[in-house]
Amino acid sequence: MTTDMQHIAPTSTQPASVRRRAGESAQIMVFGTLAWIGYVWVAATVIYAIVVACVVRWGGLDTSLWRSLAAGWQQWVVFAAGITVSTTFLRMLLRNGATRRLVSVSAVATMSTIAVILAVWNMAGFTVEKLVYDANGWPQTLPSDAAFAWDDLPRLALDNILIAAVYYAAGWIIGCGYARWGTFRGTALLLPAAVPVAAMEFLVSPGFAGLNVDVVAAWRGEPHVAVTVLAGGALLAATVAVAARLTREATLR
Amino acid sequence: MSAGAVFDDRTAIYRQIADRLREDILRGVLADDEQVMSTNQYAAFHRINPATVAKAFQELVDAGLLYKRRGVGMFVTPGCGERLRAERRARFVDDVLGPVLDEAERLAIPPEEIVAVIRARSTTAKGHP
Amino acid sequence: MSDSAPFTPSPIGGHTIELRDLTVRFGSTVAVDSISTTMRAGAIVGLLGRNGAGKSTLMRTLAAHRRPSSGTVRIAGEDPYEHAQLMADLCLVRHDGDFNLDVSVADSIAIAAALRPRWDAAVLERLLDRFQLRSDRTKVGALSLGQRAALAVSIGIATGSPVTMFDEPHLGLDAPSRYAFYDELLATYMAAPRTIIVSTHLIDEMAALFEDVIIIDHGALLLHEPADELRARGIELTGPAAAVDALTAGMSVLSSRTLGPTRSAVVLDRLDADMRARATAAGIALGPIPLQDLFVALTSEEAVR
Repeated sequence: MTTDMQHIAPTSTQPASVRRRAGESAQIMVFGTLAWIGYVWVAATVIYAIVVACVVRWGGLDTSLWRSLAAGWQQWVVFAAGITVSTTFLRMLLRNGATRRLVSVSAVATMSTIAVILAVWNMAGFTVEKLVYDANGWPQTLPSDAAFAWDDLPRLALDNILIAAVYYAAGWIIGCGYARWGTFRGTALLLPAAVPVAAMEFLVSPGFAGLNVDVVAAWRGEPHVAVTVLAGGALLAATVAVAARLTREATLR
Repeated sequence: MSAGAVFDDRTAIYRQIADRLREDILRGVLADDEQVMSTNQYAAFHRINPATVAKAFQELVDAGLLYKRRGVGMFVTPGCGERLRAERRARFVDDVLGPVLDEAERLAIPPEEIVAVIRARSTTAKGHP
Repeated sequence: MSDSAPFTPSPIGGHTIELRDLTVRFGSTVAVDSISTTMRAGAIVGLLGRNGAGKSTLMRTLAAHRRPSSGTVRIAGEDPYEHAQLMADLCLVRHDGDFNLDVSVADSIAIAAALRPRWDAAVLERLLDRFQLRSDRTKVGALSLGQRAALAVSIGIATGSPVTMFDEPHLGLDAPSRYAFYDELLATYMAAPRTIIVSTHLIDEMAALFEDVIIIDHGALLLHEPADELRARGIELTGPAAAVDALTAGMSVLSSRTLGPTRSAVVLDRLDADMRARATAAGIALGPIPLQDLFVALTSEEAVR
């Protein structure tokens, strides 16, 4: 694993031209991904706004619609973005003389960028929603049965970043399988990819991010933030290392 | 049609290029001290690999038919047209006339008849320049 | 470069490519079978072989798009696989362009320009003009196959890569586009020599462009030699069957056809003066054969090895 991390970590011994290309390829993947994922976020925001506008006009609410309508399924969008590392960008970058290592560096850059933007977008959503709900006197209840509070924002951001990143990395792993063994047999990597995702679901608080199929949520409560940061960070690093290892052996047909 | 359409595909192309330049020098198409096409121009014009063209030109330089002026190009060596003609004349009997006479002998064509054909042809050639 | 200056291949133009026992397997299929050879730096090499002979797989491996199953590839003395600087110098243009079809023409060009250290925007401009292509928001997938192929070779040439490979470039290009491609390939090559490999079976059309020719068959190397030497090789002997058999005994007969008492055999060997005299005496006619026929004779199933 150490060697895999070294494989994708930038080093100062590389010539400037190689470092410059790393920046270029990262930009290509980040903007190539944002080019479509941005539409999804805009569409989710618009649909949410319309629904809330209707609810404000004609009725009342006691749960967070932002969580269920807009934020709750974003991990699948990010998962799909992860798949495109191997199915779209690998070919694009390798064909233009980039190494697989650059593909992995670019994927990590894209993963980080998307996770952060998604977290910010999500926080903005919960914030606006809280203002609207507070003005109407509605409780903004989350799936954890607690109501959203301003103190929750940092935790919300942390959980969102970790969940988005791990789903992206899982998609990246499965995409490697598709690129290597075809759509049918490649799906076999669904199993190993599901392990870090499931583990991360247990490390975030039940409420803001993730699937909420967490049947033991009530029993386990919210993990300590230090546990989430350390274990979640390690889990993410391991998942990325596996994806980069698979990418290193990727082949264009 | 081939990319190097004017070259046949059975003989080394550099040899065909060299032969063609020799022919041009012999017939005076290329005069003494006249600059010949550069290898690049020649290669681009005929869609031929420039290394192949360079090999042909080098062969003519080695044979003393062309000379190089550094940075300018290649030129026809003065007097080499005459030299080529002398060489061809020397080989004419062996290479050209010999086989013809051998064939005439096999076909039992008398020498007088051949001489008559040659006379008639050169008269025609003079009559219709 | 002065137009009339004599051509001198630059010693730094292009990279040398050395293959040692290069083998690529797909399961039990051997696509490239233990090829060992060295391609000179700065040469235009024709890679000939029938469909399925392993040309594309060989080129993919040279471009470091895949690992060899065994054996080695050395380009400029180094293993290209995951070599950051070297891979940026290797360009493989497939006839379909290998494009992401939902990316626009302008973006496809911009991506190549961003990642290729020796990109020449002026050359690309000229090529797009020549092929009547526009760098706009049109998706590559919306282009015709011919336009896509033209875009692919344009980008390939404009990369200025020291190793530039074209896999069957004739497939998508019509005749005028092919000649435009040959012209531009030669022009940029003469301006800055590089190692160029072109796979094709349009031998007649392209042979004059090649300095060296590699012929592979069933994944194995049949021959690799200067195109002009190959052109001078290959002799067809036609005459009485018994006489032809007697003369060609011990030679590698590539193919032979019989019509009544007459046999015609193609051999790769050179005939010395003595052999030529014996042939003439036995009533055997000797004739050169075109490169295309030589290729067919070398790679046909009936070829006697």
